[in-house]
Order: sequence, then structure tokens, then C-alpha cells
Amino acid sequence: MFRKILLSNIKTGQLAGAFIGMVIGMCLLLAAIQFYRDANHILNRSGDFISNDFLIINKPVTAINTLSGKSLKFSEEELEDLRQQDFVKDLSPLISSKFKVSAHGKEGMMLPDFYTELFFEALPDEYLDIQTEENWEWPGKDSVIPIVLPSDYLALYNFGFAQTQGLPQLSEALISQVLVDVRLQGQGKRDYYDGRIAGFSKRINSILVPWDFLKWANKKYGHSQDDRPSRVIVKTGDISNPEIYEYFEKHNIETTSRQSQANIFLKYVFWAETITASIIIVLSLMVFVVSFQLILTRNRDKIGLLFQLGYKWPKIRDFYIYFVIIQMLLVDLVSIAIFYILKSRISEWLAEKGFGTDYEVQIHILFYVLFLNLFIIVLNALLIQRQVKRIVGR
Amino acid sequence: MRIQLIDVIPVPLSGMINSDSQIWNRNLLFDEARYYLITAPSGRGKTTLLSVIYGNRKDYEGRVLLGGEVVADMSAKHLTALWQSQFSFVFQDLRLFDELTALENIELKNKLTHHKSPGQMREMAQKLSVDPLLDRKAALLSRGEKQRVSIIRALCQPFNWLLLDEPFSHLDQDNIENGKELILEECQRQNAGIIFSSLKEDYGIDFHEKLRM
Repeated sequence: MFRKILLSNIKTGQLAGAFIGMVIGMCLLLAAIQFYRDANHILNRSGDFISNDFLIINKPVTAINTLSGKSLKFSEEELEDLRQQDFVKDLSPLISSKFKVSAHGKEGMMLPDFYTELFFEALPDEYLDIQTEENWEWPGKDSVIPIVLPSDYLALYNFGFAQTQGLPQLSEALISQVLVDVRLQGQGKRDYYDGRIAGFSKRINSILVPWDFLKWANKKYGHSQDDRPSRVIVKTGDISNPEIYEYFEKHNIETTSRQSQANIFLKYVFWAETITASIIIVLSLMVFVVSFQLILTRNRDKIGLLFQLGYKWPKIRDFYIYFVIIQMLLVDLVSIAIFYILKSRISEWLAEKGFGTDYEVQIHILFYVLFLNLFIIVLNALLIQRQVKRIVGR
Repeated sequence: MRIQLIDVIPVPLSGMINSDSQIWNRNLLFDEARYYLITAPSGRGKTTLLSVIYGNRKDYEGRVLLGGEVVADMSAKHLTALWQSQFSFVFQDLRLFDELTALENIELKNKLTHHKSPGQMREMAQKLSVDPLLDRKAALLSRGEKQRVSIIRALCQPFNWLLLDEPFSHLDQDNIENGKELILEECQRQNAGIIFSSLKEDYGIDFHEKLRM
């Protein structure tokens, strides 16, 4: 009977409009979140040592710098100034080897005989990805040295060098089985160590070894005590923050992070989509709220009469709140269904084009839906309570 | 439960009140289980008086006490409890829910306290000759039929006071007699008092007191 009384005077069109609006808004929001996660997922796949919010910076090498012999190293003051910037959460210099390094193939290791001169760089472990942890340790001076190479090196070797020289092509897995002889030379000493390729980095264009090892080796073989770095890794909260690039431009700093550009673009797309979704949600939420308020206003006599017949006003309020909750559940069901169908269609299409994404709609997306629901329900409940109280004159 | 009105003047009527009014701006006591008739021409505030006592209106000067408590200060919860078991009201404007049937309108009230059984409700409907109309939407009933349904509705709860606002205004003589009988029977059973507003007539009821506005 309550339903007959309290839901009379509903303008179906109005409520349906609000409903459709909410479904569209919700789908867009879900899509935005999913898109952002998928995109990140693709960008961050395998071999990623540094996550999105890191930048590696250096000073540009120019003819003038070279001719004038101007230092390309960062001074203590420059680092301090950088540290003071709001966008810098943390930073660390990349240290580099200050001694001669060379490597050559070890006998019985299936590698073609080679000899190359090398350099090493290192950054603190917390700037590195976890994936390397298991084989990224250097326990002491006689141990094997883990080395990380830029993945481009492997590509150059496999598709350039190996093919033209008639040498075998090598996979990452194979290479990581192989030991090489590493020779460190300086301060009148010359020692041999075993080196092992621990992984390949897509982001950092350098030959990396563990921080502890390089510190130790620089002390033992290093020719200079100049600690000023020429490359610095910076941890920022948001890589797309324009302040960062303004600052860099002003202070003549270059960043080599290739990912940052793509990331900035993705972030813009994500935000554009999120903002669009939010505007649609807010607008349809307004229509939703207003249509509810109208239902209550149109039924004000009935609400007043129910109260005067002896019905508790909270019971009337609760009836309307349940109605809102049911509406929201319907919105959720419909939007999640639509979203899921669209998402799997798009994934299939992407997979055909060669971009495999995971088909699953991630569970944590439901968390956002839940949060939004709570917000809408609480907002409506408060407004309903206010209006019912006003109608019964309390 | 005694009803006491102390110097009550409704705001809309202030300045228009006759000095010989036996209701407004006086100290007035309605004693338990007694029958009161309030007579006045239209527009003198009969409905206002009943609404003020019922706790429905607050736009008046003075004080109204129900069982010693100031009605204007009562919480919604307290009032709801009173309306469920102490006060019943036959509204002058009938106030049925148009979208419900006659029976549903009665049941809506009865559901709160389950005061009457379905059989008793039907009996009352028979007495007022609305039993063939019970399943008809209230919107389709005539004013007289609505008035009878709303009398039955008011009797479907426990009460200490029955407030009747011109309850027979649209009824023929037979229905008036039957309605009277039904009302008095229920009031006696519940040992309840009556406040009955009317333009002039007392419909042959033995009122303990008759007051002019």
C-alpha cells in the first residue's frame, strides 16, 4: 500500500532520463578507470625497473659545453635546489664507475668470443623494481656481479650484429644463464670477477650494477674522489606535472625518460575521460535528486496524511531511501553489464590487433562503484530526510 | 486523558474573536469520557480547534495541554504514539487516499494497531452500507460514501478521544442514525470522549456540554 501511495505522481520519463544518464556516466567512469589501468599495464610490462613517477635527468651535451670544458655534473647546490622543489619527493644521484672496466667471454659458456670495454652506473635499490630482487644482490667482494643492460642492447645484438656476423641469436633467459669475465683496473690493481646479466631494463639506458658494489669498487679502483653525479634520478608524485618541465627548461636540464611522454598523454586522456564521466554523473545525479525531491513534493499531502494517521515519519523516509537504493542497484547492474560487454568486445578487438589485454574486469573497479553508490545514497537520504521532516512539520 | 486549553488564540483568527466565545482565549477543560459539541458557523475555526488539540497545528498563542503535557513541545515520536492509540480524527475534508480502495484505506489505519478484525471492518461497512464499495478506488466514491469510509477508518484504532469534524455533513438521515450508533457504541466500548464540531445541529446525541465559538 505504501508503494501505491508514496510512488504515485512519478514522472516516469524524468526518472528514466536520470537513470539513463547515470548509467552512461557510470559506464564512462568505469571505462576511464579500466582504460587507465590497462594502459599502465601495457606500458609497465616486463623488464621495467622504474615505475612511472621517476625521471632520470642530466645536463645536455652541446658543442659549447664541450669546447669550454664546462662541467656536466650536478653540484651540491643544484641538487639541494632541486630537492627543495615541490614536485620532487626524493632524488638520488646515479653514481658511475671511476675505473676501467672490460668484459670478455668466458670459456665454455656458449658465447661467441668477445671483448668489450665497459662502464658501470648504479642507483639505490629503492629506485629499482622488485622483479630483480632475487638476483640483484652483491653479498661481498668475491661474488658474482649482477649486471643490468638496456634491452636495446640485446635487440641491437640480435637483429643487427648477430645476423650480419653469422652469430647465434640470444634470448633473455639464455643470457642470464651465462657468466662473463669482468676485469676491473685502477690504482695499480687489476682483478678479475665473474659477471652475470641479471636483467634488461627498458627504461634506463645504462649498464647498472648494485649500489654497494659500485661504492666498494670505486673506493678500491677509482681514480678520482669527485662525487658529483652527471645523472640524477628524481622521484616525483606526478610525472605529468608541468612545473617539472618548466623547472628543467629554466635550469637547462634534460630528461631521457622515454616513457614520460606517453605517460603524460595517457594521463591527459584519463583525466579528460574522468572529467567527462564526472560531469555526466553529476548532471544525472542532479536530475535524479531533483526528480526525487519532486516526487516528495508532489506527494506532500499524502506524506502528511500518513503521518497524521499515526505512521512514523522515519518509516516514510526509509521507504524512499529503499527506493533510491533499489534504483542505484539497478543502475549498477545495468552499467556493469554494459561495461563488461563493451570491455570484452574491445579487448577482443585489441587482441586481434596484437595488443593483448587482460579480459577480466578488475574487481577493484567495483570498489569505485560502491563508493559512488554510497555517496549518492547518503546524499539522497539526507535530502529525503530533510524534506520529509519539513512536510510533517518537524 | 484530560485536554486543557489555556488562552488559546489561533494566529489566523487573532483580532476576529468574539468576546463571548466559549472556546478562544479562555481556560477550557475537556474531561475524560465526556461528549462535547462545538457549534459555529463556517470560518470560525472549528477545524482549527480540532487540529490544535490533535497537535497538528502550532500557529496559535496560549497553551494546549494533553494529560498535563504541552502539546506544542511534544516530539514527533510522542505525537505518533498519541495518534496511534489515544486520538482518532474524522477529518472534515475526509482525506482518503484516492489511489487505494475503500477497504485499503481502512486497513491502512487498522494495520497500525490491528484493532479490528477483517470481519469487524466488514460489519461496520455493512452498517454504513458501503460494503459493496469496499473494493472500489476511493477516487470513484461520492462525498457521502467517502465520509462513511473515513468514519469507519477512524474507529479502527484504540482511542481515548474521538475528534469529529462535521462528520455527518454529507449523509442522509438513515446513514446519520447508523453512523451515530456506530460511533457511540465504539466510544462506550473504549470509554472514550468525543469532541464533535457542527454548524448548528446536535444530531440527537446526548452531549454533556455544548460550546459556542
